[in-house]
Amino acid sequence: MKYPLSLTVNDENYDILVEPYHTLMEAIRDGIGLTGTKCACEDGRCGTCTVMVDGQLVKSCLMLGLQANKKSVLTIEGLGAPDDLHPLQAAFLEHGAVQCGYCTPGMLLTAKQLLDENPNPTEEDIRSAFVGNLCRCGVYTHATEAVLSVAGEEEK
Amino acid sequence: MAVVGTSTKRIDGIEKVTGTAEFTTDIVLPRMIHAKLKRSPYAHAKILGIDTSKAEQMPGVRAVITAADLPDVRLGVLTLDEHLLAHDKTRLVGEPVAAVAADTPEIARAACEQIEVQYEELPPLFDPEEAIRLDPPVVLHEEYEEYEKLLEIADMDERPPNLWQAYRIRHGDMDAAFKKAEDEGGHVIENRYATGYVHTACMEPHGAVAQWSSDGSLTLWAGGQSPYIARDGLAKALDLSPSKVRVIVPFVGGAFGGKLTVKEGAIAAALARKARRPVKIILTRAEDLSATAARTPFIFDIKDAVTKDGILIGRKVTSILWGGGYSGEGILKPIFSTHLYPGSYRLAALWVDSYGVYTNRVSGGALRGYGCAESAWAVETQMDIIARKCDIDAVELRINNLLTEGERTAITMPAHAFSAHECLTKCADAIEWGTPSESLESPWYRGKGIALGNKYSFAPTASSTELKVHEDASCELRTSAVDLGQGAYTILTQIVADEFGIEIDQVKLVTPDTAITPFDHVAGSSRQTFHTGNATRMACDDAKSQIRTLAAPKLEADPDDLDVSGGRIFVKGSPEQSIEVEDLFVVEMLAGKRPADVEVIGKATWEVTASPHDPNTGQGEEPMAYMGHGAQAAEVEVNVETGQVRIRKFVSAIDVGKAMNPQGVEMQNYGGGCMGIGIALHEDMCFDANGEMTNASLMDYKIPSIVEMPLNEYMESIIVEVPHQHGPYGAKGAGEIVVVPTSPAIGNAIYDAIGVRIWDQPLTPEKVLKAWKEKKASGNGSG
Amino acid sequence: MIDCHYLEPTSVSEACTLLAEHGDGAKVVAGGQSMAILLRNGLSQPSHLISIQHVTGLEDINASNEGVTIGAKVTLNRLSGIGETHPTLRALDDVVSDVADQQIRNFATLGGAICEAHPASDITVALSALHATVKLAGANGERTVPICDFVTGAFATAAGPGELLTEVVVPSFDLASAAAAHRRFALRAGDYPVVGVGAFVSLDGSGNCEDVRVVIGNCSGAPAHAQEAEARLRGNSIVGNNGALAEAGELAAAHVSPADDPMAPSEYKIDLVSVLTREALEEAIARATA
Repeated sequence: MKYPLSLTVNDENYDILVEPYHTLMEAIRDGIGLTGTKCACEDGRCGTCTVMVDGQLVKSCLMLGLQANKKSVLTIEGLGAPDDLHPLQAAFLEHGAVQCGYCTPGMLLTAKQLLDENPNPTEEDIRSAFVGNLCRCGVYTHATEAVLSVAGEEEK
Repeated sequence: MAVVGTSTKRIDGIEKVTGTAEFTTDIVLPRMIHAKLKRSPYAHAKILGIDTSKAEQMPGVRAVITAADLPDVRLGVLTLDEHLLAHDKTRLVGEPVAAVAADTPEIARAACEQIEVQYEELPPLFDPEEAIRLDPPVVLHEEYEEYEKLLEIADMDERPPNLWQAYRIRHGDMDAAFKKAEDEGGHVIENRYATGYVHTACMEPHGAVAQWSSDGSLTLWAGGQSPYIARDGLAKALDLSPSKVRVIVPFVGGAFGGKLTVKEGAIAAALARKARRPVKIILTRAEDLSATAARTPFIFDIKDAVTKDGILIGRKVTSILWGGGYSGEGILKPIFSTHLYPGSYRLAALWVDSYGVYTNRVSGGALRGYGCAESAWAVETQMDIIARKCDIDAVELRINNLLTEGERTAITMPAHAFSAHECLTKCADAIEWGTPSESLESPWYRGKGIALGNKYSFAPTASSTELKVHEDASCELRTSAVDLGQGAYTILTQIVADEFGIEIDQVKLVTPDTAITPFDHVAGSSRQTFHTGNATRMACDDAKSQIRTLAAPKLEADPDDLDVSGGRIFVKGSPEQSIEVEDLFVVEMLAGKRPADVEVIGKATWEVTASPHDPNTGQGEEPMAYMGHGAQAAEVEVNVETGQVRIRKFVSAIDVGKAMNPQGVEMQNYGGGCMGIGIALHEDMCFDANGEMTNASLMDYKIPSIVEMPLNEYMESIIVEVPHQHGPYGAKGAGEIVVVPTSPAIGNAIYDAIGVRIWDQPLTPEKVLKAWKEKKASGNGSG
Repeated sequence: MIDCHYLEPTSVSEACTLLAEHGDGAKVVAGGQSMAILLRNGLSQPSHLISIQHVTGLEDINASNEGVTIGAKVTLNRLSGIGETHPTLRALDDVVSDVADQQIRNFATLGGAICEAHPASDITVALSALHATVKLAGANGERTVPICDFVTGAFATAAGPGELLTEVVVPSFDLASAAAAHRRFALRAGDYPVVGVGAFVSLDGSGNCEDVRVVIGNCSGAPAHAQEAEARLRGNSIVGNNGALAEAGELAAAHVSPADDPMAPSEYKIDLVSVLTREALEEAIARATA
């Protein structure tokens, strides 16, 4: 049976109905219609569905929608807007950390949590943070550069 | 204002970083329902009957189809051997036998479980060497002789019943080469190599959305590599005129050769027609990995004749491509893999017998480097072995054997824009070739390896583009070239901006839609920059010519004396004599202005013809569009207790003729290196005794994570620019060459580190450890 | 998909009552990190999902003379670095930052990780080496079970109907003479290990082995003690004696019979058991003698 789910996504409130077995990823994509959060592996390995729930990074395919009830969710659409990019979004573009773009939303949110917790990460910190985000195009080298560039900026 | 040659940011980047890019998986249409496939659990079985009645009666189920609902046509790339849904037989685990469309994916999946298929199991055939026998234990395609075939294969006295491809090269006197090597103190070096099962594993799984119009025409959204191949495939599968099919390509979440056809899209279309509603199909990751075409294994037997000075004088190769249930997109691999046997080297004699056979596993498809990446594994490992045998430095040995500009290879390809030497030496310098790796504390050992590679781009082929000039002097490029992540849209935009002397943001790209954008063969074979790039330049020229003709009377000049740049048309040599482009589009009236009846649309088709190779000799005139070059080197660290291999340093030096977008080339160097490292070390589709894939998840099929990559300071991208006479601005493609030398470079480095050879990919820790233990047991364990 | 109900008890007793009431059809969801996959793939089709998200009292970490008690809902992320505040937990600390990735560690709970009973779980191996026990609450009160008895096989536990794992207790030991360590080998960062080995040693005054535990992961359904290796070391000189540790590794390897899996063939896992057993023991001894 369906249950009411109340979510604040990117500062907007949504009230939808979901089955208990529906994941947060499905609630965001199918229930709310925000499709920037991707689905690629279905077993929690790839990280394309990464979002933040109450400031904590999570793979939204591994959290039931109802577990996020009354919580605040940040998706890629809330990170920055096309005319007002978040510094990490701009850096990913600038440093060539985007190819096909399917893993990009998840990688950006992972990078955001990293910088939220550790404004001056080392390259090793960045590699540890990205363990849960797979990219088949292999943007890893450039993504590392992008995150380092923003970390440097914030220090200034 | 040169834009070509600069690291312009990707034009589709804003959408991608903000989550607004719409991929096939994101498309939602009104009344849209969802499809799932019922797949065969058997590798080889007769289908005796299918009962769909229970599934049809389930609430929420809108359509169920089997082969009986589809036109009885066989599909394929060049050998038409495959039905959309299995007919009387299934030839691999996961072959679709029925399909359901329902209100939700869950209902569709549950309904598939309710479909009852009666099978009669047949013995499966997995071993390619069994498959190629004249009297194989099992025949997969009993009706092979009746199939439509669009490609001639080599003559054979008797065709082994499971064989679908045979190709020969007969160049030079093979016997004389071996005799010379033996008589004159040279070497005959013979080895067997094998590649593994590799999957493209694109982050976006295969999928499509199909919708029919009331006039009986079909629109399909699918993130594939070629909207026109998709359109024609759909038309054939569903017995429609191609004009009734419209294919729109949304953003594509990676392809790498894996998205050349849209089989699941055709099934969705058939369901949509029956259900009279739009149907979306997205494969699960397990389906994507186990049942869409893979890079299936090759077995290579190579025998080389070498003089004592390390000059290669003859090479004899027998290879078998371990095809799957259907020939699919792997059909040309037994041919294209032969390109690397001469590669960049001079070979007086080359004899090749290359085959492809059916087996009851996943069908063979394309994956970045189409055959060349596989044969490079064998050839470039062999070069390292030859160098050591002759006691000649591995770089020097390669250089000594290189062709020179203008020579022809043993497969009659002219060596033009021949940059192998430059790629190799720059790569060697970057890895400090000649300086031995530092010694590490036990159990770790370091070593370096290098390899050279080529990637040919196929011909004949063609690309067309249209270039519309708007009254604000902005340009709109209509192309069916697809950006799969490789940056094609950005490069084509750069070309238009450059040709018209306008800013990047004054160029609008109309992305692939067969109702609007003209023919382009395929986003594959590293052909987009080269072919679509040329077509784009030509369309720009055509549009500019139209503009000059329109402007000539207004400027009272001959069109040939005019030039167009930066939104202005001016007389060459006297730029003050000019008008704005927008002036062409308006007519002055007494009371003001009105639009002029002007339409500027440049059109062009770039075509490369080729003389096909003779399948019995491998000889032809100029069989390919161009020949790409690249070299890669790796420094590895090997743990002899666990067999673990870490890539410490990686260098990729590729020749792109002209770096249209240097950062884009760097992205290919790093990204291709990443994929190449995964293929070399870990990626391996595993199958159980019934032919079912046992690691069909991204948890278990191990594409590299960031940690498997070297630290940034040890990643090096080198761009070599030797212009090609036919390339736009001299450019050649970069997308595939970057995975060709990776595996042998790593394998050679492992040998340098611990003195063991692994002959079959991937070079997993257990194989490395096993080889090390065998070496120790034989008394050579010093490393 | 069958009809599924979602229940959110707020206390342990309420959760246990609901679990007992709904029997086999009821499944506990804590962080959701493994359950969500099973549900999505249709591999688990419970009639009732019992979310313990709002159950209070399961999120504490307390130290006493007996040992450290960790609430079942403590996330793996919170356990990262736990060895610094609770040095007896260093072996657990060895593994937590290698479990999956930060996204998963943020929400995965210790109780959930144990109850999943994945045969390759490093956490269960490390806790087994530490002689940890788990506390189970049920309708008829609580019981305590050694973790090695709790995990009974691949994806199988001794939790009875209506029982909820509430806490994990890692007993104290003398840090001056004893320590534990864990070593793993994975093919790729973020993955389950091919093999994991946990080791605990305690030494007497002369550097002889007083007690030892060697636990092997992913070579059988549940973590298994390498009894022959333990017997080789117990009572013998092991400090500065790499020969003994290597022999223990070989003995451990000689007595496992792992199945092939997609990550590795049996033969390779056996090789790793030997190496990782030696390394885990070396590290444990180094810690015990530091």
